[in-house]
Amino acid sequence: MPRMLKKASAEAVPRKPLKQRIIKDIRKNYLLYLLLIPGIITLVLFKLGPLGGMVIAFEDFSAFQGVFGSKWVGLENFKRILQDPYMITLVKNTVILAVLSIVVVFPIPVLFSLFLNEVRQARIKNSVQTLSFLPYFISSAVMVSILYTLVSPSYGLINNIIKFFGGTPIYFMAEPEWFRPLYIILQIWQTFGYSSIIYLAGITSIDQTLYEAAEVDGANRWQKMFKITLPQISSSIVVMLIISIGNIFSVDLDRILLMYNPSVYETADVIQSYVYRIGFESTGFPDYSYGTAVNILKSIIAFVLVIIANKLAAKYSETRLF
Amino acid sequence: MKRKKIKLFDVINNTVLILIAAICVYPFLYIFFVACSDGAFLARGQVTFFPKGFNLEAFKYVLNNNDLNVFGGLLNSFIYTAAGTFVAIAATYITAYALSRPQLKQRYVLMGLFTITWVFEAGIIPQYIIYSACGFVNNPLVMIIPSMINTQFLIICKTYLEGIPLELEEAAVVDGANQFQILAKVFMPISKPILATIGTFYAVQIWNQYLVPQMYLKDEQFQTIQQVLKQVVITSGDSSTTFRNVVQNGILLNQQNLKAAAIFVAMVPIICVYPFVQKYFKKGILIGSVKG
Amino acid sequence: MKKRWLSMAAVLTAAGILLAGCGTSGGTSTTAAQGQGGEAQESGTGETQAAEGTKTYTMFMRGTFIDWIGELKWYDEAEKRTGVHVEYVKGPNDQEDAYAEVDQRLISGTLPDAAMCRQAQANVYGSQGAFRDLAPLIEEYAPNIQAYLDENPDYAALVTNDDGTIYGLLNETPKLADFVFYRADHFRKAGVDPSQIKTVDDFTQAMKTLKEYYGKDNPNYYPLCGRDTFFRYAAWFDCANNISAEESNGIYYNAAKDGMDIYADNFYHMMEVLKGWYDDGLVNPEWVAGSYSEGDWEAAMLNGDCSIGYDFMTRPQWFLDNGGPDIDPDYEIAVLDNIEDENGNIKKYQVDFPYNEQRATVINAATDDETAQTIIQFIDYFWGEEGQTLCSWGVEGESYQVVDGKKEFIVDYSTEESKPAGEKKWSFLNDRYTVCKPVDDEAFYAWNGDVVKDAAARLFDEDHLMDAYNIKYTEDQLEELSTLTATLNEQVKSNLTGFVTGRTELNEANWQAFLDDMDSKGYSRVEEIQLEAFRSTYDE
Repeated sequence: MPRMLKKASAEAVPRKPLKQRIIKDIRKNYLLYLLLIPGIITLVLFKLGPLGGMVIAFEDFSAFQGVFGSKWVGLENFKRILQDPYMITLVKNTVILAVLSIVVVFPIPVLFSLFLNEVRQARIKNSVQTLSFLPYFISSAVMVSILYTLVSPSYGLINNIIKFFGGTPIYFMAEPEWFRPLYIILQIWQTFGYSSIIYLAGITSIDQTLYEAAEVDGANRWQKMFKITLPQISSSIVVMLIISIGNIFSVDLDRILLMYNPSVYETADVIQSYVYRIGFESTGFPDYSYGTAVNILKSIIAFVLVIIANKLAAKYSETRLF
Repeated sequence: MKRKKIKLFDVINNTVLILIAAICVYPFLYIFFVACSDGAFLARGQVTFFPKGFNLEAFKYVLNNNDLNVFGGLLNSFIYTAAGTFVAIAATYITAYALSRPQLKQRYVLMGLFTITWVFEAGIIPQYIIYSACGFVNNPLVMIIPSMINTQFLIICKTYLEGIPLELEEAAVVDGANQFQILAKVFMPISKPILATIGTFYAVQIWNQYLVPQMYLKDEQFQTIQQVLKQVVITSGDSSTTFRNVVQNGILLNQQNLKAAAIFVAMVPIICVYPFVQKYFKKGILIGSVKG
Repeated sequence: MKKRWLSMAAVLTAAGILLAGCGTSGGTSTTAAQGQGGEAQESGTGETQAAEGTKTYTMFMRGTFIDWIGELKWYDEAEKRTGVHVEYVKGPNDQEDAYAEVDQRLISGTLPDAAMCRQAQANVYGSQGAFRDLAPLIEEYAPNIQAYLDENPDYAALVTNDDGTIYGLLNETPKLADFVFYRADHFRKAGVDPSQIKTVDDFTQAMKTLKEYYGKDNPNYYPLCGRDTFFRYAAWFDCANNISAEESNGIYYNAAKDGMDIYADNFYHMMEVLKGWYDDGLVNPEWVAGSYSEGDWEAAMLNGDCSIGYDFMTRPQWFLDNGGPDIDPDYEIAVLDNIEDENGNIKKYQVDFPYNEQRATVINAATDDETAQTIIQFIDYFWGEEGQTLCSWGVEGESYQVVDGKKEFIVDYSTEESKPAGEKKWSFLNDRYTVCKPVDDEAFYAWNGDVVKDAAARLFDEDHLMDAYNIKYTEDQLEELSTLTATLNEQVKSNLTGFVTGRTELNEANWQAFLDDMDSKGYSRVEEIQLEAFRSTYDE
């Protein structure tokens, strides 16, 4: 509304009272406002509403007293977090998974698209690309179910191969040291085709004269790949890398909830899965306030990281995340 | 000498890449092979690269056995996906349209709020409290209404609409068209590609969703195929929903056959439509990453 | 910029107003939300049905329980005789999941008229106003329950709170332990004489013989397998949890039957033995690791991938009635006597609590008086003579007859219990109707297969069974205990599993570190609360 004021005066229309100006605006644009109804409902109820619901982190929330009636406890829940020895495990697990997915998962699509770009036959190139990003559209429930089938100790393909070579079956899904590799393998399987599309698009827009010039200088295939193509898409790579760093705390909760079980909690339990268990699978009493507090702490750290990442992105390229 | 080297590189490169693509899709094929093999061969670990004792009994059993709820789950997922995609496209598009109109003075504020909620997530507990107060628990609408506007797709859509030249709209305004008419007659026809793109993304998202139905849809009659899968394949905790070895039409079906059949049934719709919509996926990824 | 903030504030205010609207509609608690979420189940109850002369109410329970009730012939008869129809609302099949769903249904206001939950939930939420106080209802409408309360002061004390309120009613459990049962045909073929298995060492030796015999052709064969927890041998090694007015050892809260005391002198020895079993391939490793489902276990036990089980008392017979003999004509199951120590003293096995605190029946505070009355009267029916006879013996002339003043069944146990799931049958297994009621011990033992009946007669007495005590906790104690034990149980289990599978080396130093860790996480605090509560429950 103050915005309108500025506009109005700028157009040198005689100043009218605020109420009239609102009425005029509504009368003129009422159809637009009608169109906005679903958007406003979504925004207010389903997006801002839960944000407001976060106040329960400062309460001792009771379902029967409601958000407004529960006892206010201030920072009590946050103090508990700092005293909770299990938090260390959770943060460690969350960060390790995130770091692994940057260090291990991130370079794969870059390499994949570099090599895929070298394929001369358009048909092979397209089919490989199409097949490789199919897994991105398969749900976590299916992916994890397939994993269970493949690694089953008594009949799974992997353990059959191990047994064939005289090894003893490995209980992949029940051994903590296997959780991270399996999670990362699923992550690669599910996302590398997807990410490589972005790089390939970048590669196609590289100026062809660069290659021609390099050929004149006698550059071979490898040199062209790593001296021209790679540097040319470096800005995309940097942006993607920064996005991943910004997402360091966001794990695939579906995948973890489907994959983990109590015997692998020591490596598999992350902040989000812990929050879920506190709220929805508690064997004692659910502690909604504490779970929310834990989540807020996570979100604050993640938010700071996103801001930093965004700053970095703005610095290294024209692109910003938002 | 040099030419030969290059050829060798091509051969190796092509082979390796084809192999990688094959590894990517092999597990899906393997699931199919397991599902349609004879249980006896399976139990001896003899099924690896091809089905052995081919039959489709496992699929029949899994789809016909009502206790397992596989068919019911599929049906629910179809309904949620169809209705949800339609509602989501409509809601996202009209919101993007309204937010792209310069005469809407509050558009920056609204867009800012959308972005905030995108970056700063409330988490599942406050969300549950608010959604349940709105009556979404055990209500299939939870698959359709709350997620009807995805901020990322909203941005994509809005960016696209803003890129449409103003002249088109002005011509319509001169003819005396109102906002509804402009939306329907001018913008809709040229927005088809973007609608198809966000539509496919929404559809995949709704179909694949696991956590939301798991938290909100408790009644068996509302459950999605992903929930059913979790119950029959991953947890398989209780006798009533666990697969036993069965003999059907003279063919032994063991647990593994049946689990594989359930998994395959759950992914087959995506695989069937994938070849037709994959170009929209590609487009969507590019718009989302470059402009978003 | 400033203006943008102002209009943002305006939008936020609007959001707040809308939110408040949403919040209050949910804030008026269960009554309002009941209308929204419970609608699907509730429509068509009450008035419509009343017109036909039947009263109806809704009840939330574990899915499995509802499936069981659906198969009971006598239950249909009970509904017919009382003129009450219960619409059961299915929860998850897993107990923990089902009770977590009670929490969620409470917060979202979608709990039906009645529900089954933990006694802890009944009391904590009840005092916050979620459930009806049953005391006045019982006094007015439930003479049989009232009589039972008067006759059983222990029970009355357990369900009644200090202020006289009763939120949850519990069902009685017969005194019984799990059975160790085995494939008698396997034992015979492998040359193992079950009567010679006296001590733990004998047991280990028997498993080794079996493994040698059956394991040489079948890599998936393990003599011992099961479901749920692998750690259930505490009684064999004198490591069971225990409680008395003097001391409390181990986690006793919610864990009478499978509880253990990790600080017991012999516990380290037990771990060595269990680890030995694991290392020698005598126990199914998937089971130990916790990734073995009930279905996996049943399949293994039926298919001959294992020979010994340790499970609920009706299970030995179950395998005979559910396909065992079809798969292998020699299929035969028998129950092993209790293990003894070197001096021939019988080890007493652990039993369940006399009253099952995991099965409390509650009435939603939002139900109207008339429905509440219907619910309590329907429950009361099973506490009276007619109801007791119906659920323990069935209908005279159809399922039982009276000979010389004594009732006896005229339907065959095996025929009835082997009917496929979903089919109506006469069944009087006590765990099939889980809504609270007392137990008729005579009928309970009479309705069982021969294997189980014989074993029960042989093994269910003072010499073979320990005692278990229900303990009355205060609300604060309950909240603290449930929070502490939720973490501790998980951690104890995962650590013990680690020691057995070799993930953590089993040595004195690691063991001590584990014990210290559990102590720092509240193990002794749990024991302290239990002792306090035990004293106040039984010293009065």
